[in-house]
Amino acid sequence: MSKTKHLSQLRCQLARHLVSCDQIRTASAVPTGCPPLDQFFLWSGWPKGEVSLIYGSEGLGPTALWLKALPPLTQRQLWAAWVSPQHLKLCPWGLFQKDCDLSKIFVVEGHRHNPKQWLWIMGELLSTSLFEIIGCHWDHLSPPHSQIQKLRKLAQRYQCSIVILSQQQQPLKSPFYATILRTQGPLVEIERALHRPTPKSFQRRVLYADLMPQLSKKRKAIAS
Amino acid sequence: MRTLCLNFQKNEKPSLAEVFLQFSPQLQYRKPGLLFLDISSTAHLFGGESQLLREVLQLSQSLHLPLSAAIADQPSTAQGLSLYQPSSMSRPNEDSSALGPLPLAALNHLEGLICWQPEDQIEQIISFFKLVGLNQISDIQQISRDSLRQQWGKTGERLWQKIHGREQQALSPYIPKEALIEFIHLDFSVSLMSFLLHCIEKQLQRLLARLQGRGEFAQRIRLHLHCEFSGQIHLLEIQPLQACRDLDILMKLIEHKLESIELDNPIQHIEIEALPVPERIEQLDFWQPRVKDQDKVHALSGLLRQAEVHSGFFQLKDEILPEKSWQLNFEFMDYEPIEDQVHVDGKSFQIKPAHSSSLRSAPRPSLLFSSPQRISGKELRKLEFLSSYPVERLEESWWESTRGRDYYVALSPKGECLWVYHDRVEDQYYLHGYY
Repeated sequence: MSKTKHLSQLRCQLARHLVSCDQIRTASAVPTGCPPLDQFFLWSGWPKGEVSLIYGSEGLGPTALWLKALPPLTQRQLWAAWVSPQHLKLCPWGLFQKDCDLSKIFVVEGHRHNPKQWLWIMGELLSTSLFEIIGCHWDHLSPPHSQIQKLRKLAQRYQCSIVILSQQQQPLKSPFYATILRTQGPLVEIERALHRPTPKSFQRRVLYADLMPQLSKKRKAIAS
Repeated sequence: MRTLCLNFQKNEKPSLAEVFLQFSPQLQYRKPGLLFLDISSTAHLFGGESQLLREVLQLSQSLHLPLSAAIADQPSTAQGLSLYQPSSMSRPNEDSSALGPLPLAALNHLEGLICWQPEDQIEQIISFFKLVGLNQISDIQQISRDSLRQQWGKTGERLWQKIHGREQQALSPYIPKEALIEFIHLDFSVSLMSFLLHCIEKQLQRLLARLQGRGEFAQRIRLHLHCEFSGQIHLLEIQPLQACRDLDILMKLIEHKLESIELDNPIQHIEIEALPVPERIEQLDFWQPRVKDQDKVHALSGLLRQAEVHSGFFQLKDEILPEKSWQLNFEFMDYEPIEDQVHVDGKSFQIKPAHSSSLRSAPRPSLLFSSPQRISGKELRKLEFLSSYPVERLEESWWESTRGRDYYVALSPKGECLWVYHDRVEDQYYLHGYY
């Protein structure tokens, strides 16, 4: 059979699954707030319907990286949620100073390192179909593969982007994470990003480190 | 007057009348299983009598209440039609012609609000007319009033008035008095949660329909689960964040509570009680969706609160100490910062400065410890402070015993950016947060 006949046969079989070039769309995403990251990711942000992981010690910026996504999101009157343990809380003043709409950020404080309860809280947040992105701080043992898989299914059903922040140095890198970022020293290393060549590193300064301008504002001694 | 008669197929409780209060405030329940509503003044609110009848039937279907209904001028006519011509509506002032085609046996059901007294007399009347070859009500409509009265006294008089649609029976407003309690008696004891939830949902739906009729919301729901053995009773109490009649929210809360109890001792019967509060009246905007985001958030907050998980929105406060400068509130409240106040009086003016207004723009870390962590001398020596002078000095009210904190930004050996403060009283360094 000639090639053209093969091609025409394939077209007939796959007719309902084929789309034209102008109809191709990537999965929707929540912009990270860091243009270099958005340009690198296929879906230009934290992918909806997927679970992402950012790990690294606190103070190296995993939380600050996630928080970058919130101001533009809330200004568009879209919702975000944050789940954190009892002893370490998210400070809202930084968000306030960046004109974030705090009425669109729902906070859950004090999950008790109980994986079952944590999964239940995440399930309830997702089932409202309200949130575009949910950040979850996890400072205990890494959630197992089965939990991440369940979370991913929920995220796909409700089209929400889930970002887990872990302070472990060697967290369990479940295959169900669509994106894995690591903050280490002055770098942010992208260890996994679906359909993108990895690993890829970015300077934190380039991405989001804005501590010095914040500190030196109205402080001539530091600014100089 | 226009009367809607609901004929329940089984003997229902009088409290069921409350469910239909939403269609008319004037209603009366009569055993066994008859409900009469005066819809003259309310039919137009539902788009007419036929639409009202349709909604009543839909509601009864959703509550699994098999019934037949009919509309007529008088309650007695409506009762008769509900049995022999269900879902029919007689034309106004034409009750007698509506009753005409009905068989004589229908006379038994032309009682309306007051039963036939004595009960067997109407049976005798029906037997008599059948003996003389009359079969329909139209056949006896030609008999004069005096003849019927002469033959059967008061019953004859009443009969004549009913078959000609002349009997006046007024319906007074119904005042709910029954307790908001529903009972579920299970034929066999159950220890399966899904089945329990199914049974509870059915009765809860009725309870909420009663609340809707009364114009009330459920502030709290109490469930008493009576076990089969040892007389054990599980008491569950659920309280949504805001009083509501939302079945989904309440079922979610009940399901979550049920998960915490052991069902080894099967449940034999259940008692559901609702504690009501008056309905909050809300002016709805035509353009706004019925289910608002805030309702979803309230439902979520209620569920998390029941599970003893703290949640809500950030409420910023004008406080000096960072850990006190915000709290979580289930309802979002706008932050109104304190500003300098200037009072001008003629040529004089007075400035009342707002202290600590610069705190709003002070650099703050992303994460803050609930209680600052002490830094040992060894750890302190490893830190690199970005400045020798504190970035911020925070002190509380001067008239109180202030401790005073000098805040610094420091880098750990791993490159972590820390927010550290020096307590001047204790002469101790604390780690307060991470950038």
